[in-house]
Amino acid sequence: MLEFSGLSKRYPTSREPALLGFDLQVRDGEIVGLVGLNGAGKTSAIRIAAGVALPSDGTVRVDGHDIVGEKRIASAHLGWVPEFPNFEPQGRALELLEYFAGYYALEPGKTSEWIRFLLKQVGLAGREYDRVGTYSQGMKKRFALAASLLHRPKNLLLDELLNGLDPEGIRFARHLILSLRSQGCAILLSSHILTEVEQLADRIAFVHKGKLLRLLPHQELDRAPGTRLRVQVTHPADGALEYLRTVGPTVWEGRSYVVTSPQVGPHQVNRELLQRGYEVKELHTEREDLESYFFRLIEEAG
Amino acid sequence: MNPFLYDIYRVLRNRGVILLIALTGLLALTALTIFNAFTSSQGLASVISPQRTVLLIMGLIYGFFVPVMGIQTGYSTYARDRATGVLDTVLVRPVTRTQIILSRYLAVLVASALGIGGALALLDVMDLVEVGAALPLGQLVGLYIGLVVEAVAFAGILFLIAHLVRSPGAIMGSAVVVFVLIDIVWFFLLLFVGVLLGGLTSAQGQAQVVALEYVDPAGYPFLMLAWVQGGLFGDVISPPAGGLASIGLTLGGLAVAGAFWSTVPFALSLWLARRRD
Repeated sequence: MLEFSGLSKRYPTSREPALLGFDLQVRDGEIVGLVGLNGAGKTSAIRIAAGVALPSDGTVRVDGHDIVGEKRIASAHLGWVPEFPNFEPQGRALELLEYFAGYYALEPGKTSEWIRFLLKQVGLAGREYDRVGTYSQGMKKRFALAASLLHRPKNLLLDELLNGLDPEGIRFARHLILSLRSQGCAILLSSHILTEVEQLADRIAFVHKGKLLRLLPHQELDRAPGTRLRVQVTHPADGALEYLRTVGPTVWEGRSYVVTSPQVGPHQVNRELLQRGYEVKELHTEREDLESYFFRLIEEAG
Repeated sequence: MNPFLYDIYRVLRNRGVILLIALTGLLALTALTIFNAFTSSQGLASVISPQRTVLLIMGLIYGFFVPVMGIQTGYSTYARDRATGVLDTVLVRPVTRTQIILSRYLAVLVASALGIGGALALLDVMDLVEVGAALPLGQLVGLYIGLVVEAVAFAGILFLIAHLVRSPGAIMGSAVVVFVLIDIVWFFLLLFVGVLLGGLTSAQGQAQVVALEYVDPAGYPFLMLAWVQGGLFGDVISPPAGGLASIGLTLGGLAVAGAFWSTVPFALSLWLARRRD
């Protein structure tokens, strides 16, 4: 479990804090998507949680261990894929992973085998002896993923993991993330690709100007303001319109009624219309997508 | 793989260390050949000890190259990694900032000790071949300690610079300024001051040189060599009548200066590493 409590970060070069009283919990077996504009504070939060940056205030706990005060124990439970992975360019993939493995109490003798397996899993089989400096950005991301999984961590910080990966890599990463969640991993996933966050995350944390604007469970997206219900009945009539207006603001759009922000679910609307003698030809929810929701939130926040 | 051993391996494969050892052979051979030819032609072979003079000349040459090596190893071992984010990929492991910086500094120390040891061993072999006698062990050890302190002092300064400026370019730019100021400008400054105060043969002039060399990490090998040789300039200028203590060159002073230069710049960088990103 990852717990951010009252986290603040101020950089000497900036007047505005990068993070201000940021609170968030990522539970075991859960994926939390972290979304926000550039400079919102996502990477700062992740870097502090990874133990590579120091907080100005507040704490991050990894499975109950403070990442600053109990750095060694906390880091042993943590994996991190940075947005722009930068490994020692002269180091060879196998050599670097063996070096990193030296920091964990991995079973001697099996480490090399495990590293080769990991490299194969992330699609770097055959490139074990190449210098990491010769890798493309996507390959570096794959290598960073292998480096983050070296010690089978129970908590993962993925900063723009999908950025820079090819379609095959994105598919692989998506399956991997879901598989890790099913194994009980707590995963914090920051991404600008909102459709991916929407598909993967159990909860979505919206960050703006260093603060957590909203933490939205995925299912609440269906009930978010702006959701529309499109209803088409065989013989439109005033009675149908009258009923739909009790559900929410309704307009006639040529062939169907459109109810904005319905107060009840589609099943209940369907049942009610049938009871009133209307044959429902089509009924579906047009949910506001994450992107629109995100921009609306940002706009509201000013 | 033990991370500390890997850190040492990284420093040892560094160009700076390899270059120092390679240069040694070439420079030692050249210096010894010229020196032998000169003393033989002038009939000075019995007056000027070839070994003492070779150590003095090579000490000055090393005094110039070892800071370059210290800067290069300090940069590639820690400063560049910190500026480019490579260090972050290590810091995310179960290790503290203190452990990382300490491990890398000790790696520089071990690699510098091995590299300088190799260079001096090569010099000794060259001397044995050319002059027919080994270099005096005590003087060799004195120079060795002086050079290792000088190397880690410059590496420590680089570690410190890495916590004061951010980009690789700014770090290297600052390192060049530091090198020029304390290895080149300082050398000419102390010569100038020495000459101004009655010349380098006078006790007053030599005392000023010693005082200025104490506050310069690049001057430390020179002081160590002067102490083991019993005079500031080998057989070229006579040692002071009142002994080395009369010009301020004492074992206690050398120990304090050595301890200061090998720990203080590094300790400051360690202090900053624990408090700043």
